[in-house]
Amino acid sequence: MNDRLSFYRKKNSPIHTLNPFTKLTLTLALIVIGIVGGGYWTASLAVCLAIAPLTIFSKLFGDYLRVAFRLILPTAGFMFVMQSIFIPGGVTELFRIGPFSIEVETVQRSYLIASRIFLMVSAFAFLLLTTHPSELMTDLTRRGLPPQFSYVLISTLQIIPQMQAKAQTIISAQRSRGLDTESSFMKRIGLLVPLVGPLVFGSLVEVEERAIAIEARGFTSTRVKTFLHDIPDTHMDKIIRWALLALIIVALASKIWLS
Amino acid sequence: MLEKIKQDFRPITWILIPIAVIVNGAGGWLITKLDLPLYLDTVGTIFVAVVTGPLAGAITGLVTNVILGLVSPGYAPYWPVPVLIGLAAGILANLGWFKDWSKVLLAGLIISVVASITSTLIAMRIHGNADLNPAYFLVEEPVDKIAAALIAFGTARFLPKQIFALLPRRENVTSGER
Repeated sequence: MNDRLSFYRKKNSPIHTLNPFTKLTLTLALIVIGIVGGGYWTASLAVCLAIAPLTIFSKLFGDYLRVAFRLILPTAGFMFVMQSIFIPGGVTELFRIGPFSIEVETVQRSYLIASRIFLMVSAFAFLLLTTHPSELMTDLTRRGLPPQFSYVLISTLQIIPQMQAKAQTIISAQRSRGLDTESSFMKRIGLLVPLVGPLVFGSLVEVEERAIAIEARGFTSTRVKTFLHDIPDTHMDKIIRWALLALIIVALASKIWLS
Repeated sequence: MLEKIKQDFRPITWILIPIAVIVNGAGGWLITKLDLPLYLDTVGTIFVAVVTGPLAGAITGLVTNVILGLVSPGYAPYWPVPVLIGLAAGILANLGWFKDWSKVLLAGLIISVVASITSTLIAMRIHGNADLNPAYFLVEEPVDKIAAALIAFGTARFLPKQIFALLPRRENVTSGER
């Protein structure tokens, strides 16, 4: 769990040196163009012609493929199969499995939806692979995002590995005291107390610790805050962002006028 | 209205949200080890909703879903379910349904109705069909949400005084004596 969640991979590439906000804009632009943009193959093309080259360019193609095959493909594939089988409404029958007939139209529609989901998750995977979450949040806070939001997002991202560690500690501790997870149903209900109790009370201790830590760092102070790390935002970044914004507008406009 | 919402978002609220997300995730994972028909992945959401208001509860639910969605994308389309659970629990608490044990049972039941309807609707949209399993509607969901509501309520009642004093909506769980 630990290594799967810290998605970010440090590499020396031009993509990594871009401003985080530029990469966020790029991700959103890819999603908007893939979903709003008219043609049937737009989302599939965006994955092949934009995301794949971008990951190669940032020297992360292997990591991206791993994410795609382990996480995205199973989900999108499962949805594709389920929708192809169960959504009615097609006319031209392709073949039958038992009582279900598979129609060409539903398969086409399911592929469209699945490819859009594939694109959406891929775009976010690209963002997470190339951008350190705290860098992105620092940049967004500097641009005016309330610091409370970045605190919640960053601290949850940081504590995901802790989450499983905590659960693991509790279950090991109780097992060493004779917790039997294979006993009868009624006994297992009784086991809720030794498992959930430490979780809840341990978390309450954490609330106090964090309250002190946050106060010590001037979280509630209303004065303008300064930043420890300077995140570069070059002219190149600005040009790319404006270009992407123009692309998004073109995609939206083509959707409105051409359909 | 806006002033009231602002009142709910004190520093303690922002501290509670990430911790509630851990409780949701770790609780959901622990329960799989017991092989019981429970999920218990909404305890934190209901707790935050009750003591800091519906909106904070909804944020907790949403963040939990996003995090779980990163681990397994299958969760992602179900994001309205925890959001609605947070909103429902918060609104019920504001209406005084989290003041004593008997009412909490009913509140848990109402939350389970909201959750099961929403998740069935989403499942229908994704898969094109829904297996309307009566055991899920009549046993699993209600038992799970009632258990979660009771744990959340119990935690709020037995909170150390110095934390309890910081909560924006502590009157939601007291029946006058504290």
